[in-house]
Amino acid sequence: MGREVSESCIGSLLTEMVSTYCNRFYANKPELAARRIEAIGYQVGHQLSERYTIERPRFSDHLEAIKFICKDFWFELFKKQIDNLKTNHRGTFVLQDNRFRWLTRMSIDQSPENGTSEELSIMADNKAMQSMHLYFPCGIIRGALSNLGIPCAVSADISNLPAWLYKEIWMITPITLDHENLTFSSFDGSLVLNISFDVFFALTCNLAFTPRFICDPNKGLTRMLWGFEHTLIASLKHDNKKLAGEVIEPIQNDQKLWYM
Amino acid sequence: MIVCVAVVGHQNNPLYIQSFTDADDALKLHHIVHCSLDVVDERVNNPKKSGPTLNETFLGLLYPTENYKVYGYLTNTKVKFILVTTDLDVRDADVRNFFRRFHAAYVDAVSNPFHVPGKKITSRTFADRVSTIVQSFGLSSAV
Repeated sequence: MGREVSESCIGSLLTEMVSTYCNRFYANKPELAARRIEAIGYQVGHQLSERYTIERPRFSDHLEAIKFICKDFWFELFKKQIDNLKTNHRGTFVLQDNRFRWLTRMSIDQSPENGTSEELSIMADNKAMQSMHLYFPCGIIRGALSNLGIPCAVSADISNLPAWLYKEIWMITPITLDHENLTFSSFDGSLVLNISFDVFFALTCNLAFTPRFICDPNKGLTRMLWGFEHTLIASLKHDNKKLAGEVIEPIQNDQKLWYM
Repeated sequence: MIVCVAVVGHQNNPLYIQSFTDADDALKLHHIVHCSLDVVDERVNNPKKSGPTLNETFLGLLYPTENYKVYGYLTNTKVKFILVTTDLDVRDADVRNFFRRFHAAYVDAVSNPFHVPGKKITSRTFADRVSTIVQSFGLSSAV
């Protein structure tokens, strides 16, 4: 039985997540979209840190935990380790990844030396959009560290796409958010669920990183989501979980998100 | 025979307590689990630096009472697993094996995105898996 997910599927999912939250939900409020994406990452990081610390001896101090993040955790997520770790020994750590996997396929617009103000504002938009994609990995790191007992705040910076990525971590308390809902009907219409978006994304990301279903890389995101839906429904039926939203409604045609 | 298993969160909040006896002394078992938390904290804060057990997850026999033996296991995320058993000759390897499987079941239960961290585990799948593990623990040590 296959237990792998194609990387393009994860890339598509993450891109779609950012674009959904930025353009559909919080179209004019990028700060809220960023916070929501970061909260999803927090939940995913929380759960992944539980999974990846099985069979490991306990960490004796913060540095051990950060090193775990740099080596094993990063390897599980991105198939490589952090390239450089710096600290000021007073609670700030800088993790540097020279080739951040989720951004390698992202293009940047090089601005000319003497750009007009129009081009500069386009560049600023690009930069904002790129930084939006960093909130999710920041959330993952924050969730993982919080679960290991280290409250922190994480920020990220790109100096040269797709080459360098810096993250800074320092000790502050995390934040929490509330929910929104997604209507989801099975392909034969027999079951309709309302679940919150961030729960759905957390489920998807968690399933993607801890591969539990078969994914045919040729059929892409649609197939993966179909598989998710059935996994989700199967697991929910098995757990006898009743979710919010008992109204049966057909899926709207304009929710093209799930039909690609 | 395993009498009770418990999962306790990092703030000593109970996440899952399940007793496997017919007798009506569930409260007594809860009390035993609660007392064992103190022992866990003591073991963690005052480690015996002489041995190689400084940072192990498996804490071993916490303390024996008149009828029961209590074993502890502490994960990296400060979640404690407590096992109460009435067996007199329990092998160390069996208990470690039990905790390993229990940890795997716990991780799967927590990975459920509908599970709120810090609240009790309400998944029936988890309960079924735990009872399977508990029953096979009894069988293997009888061999």
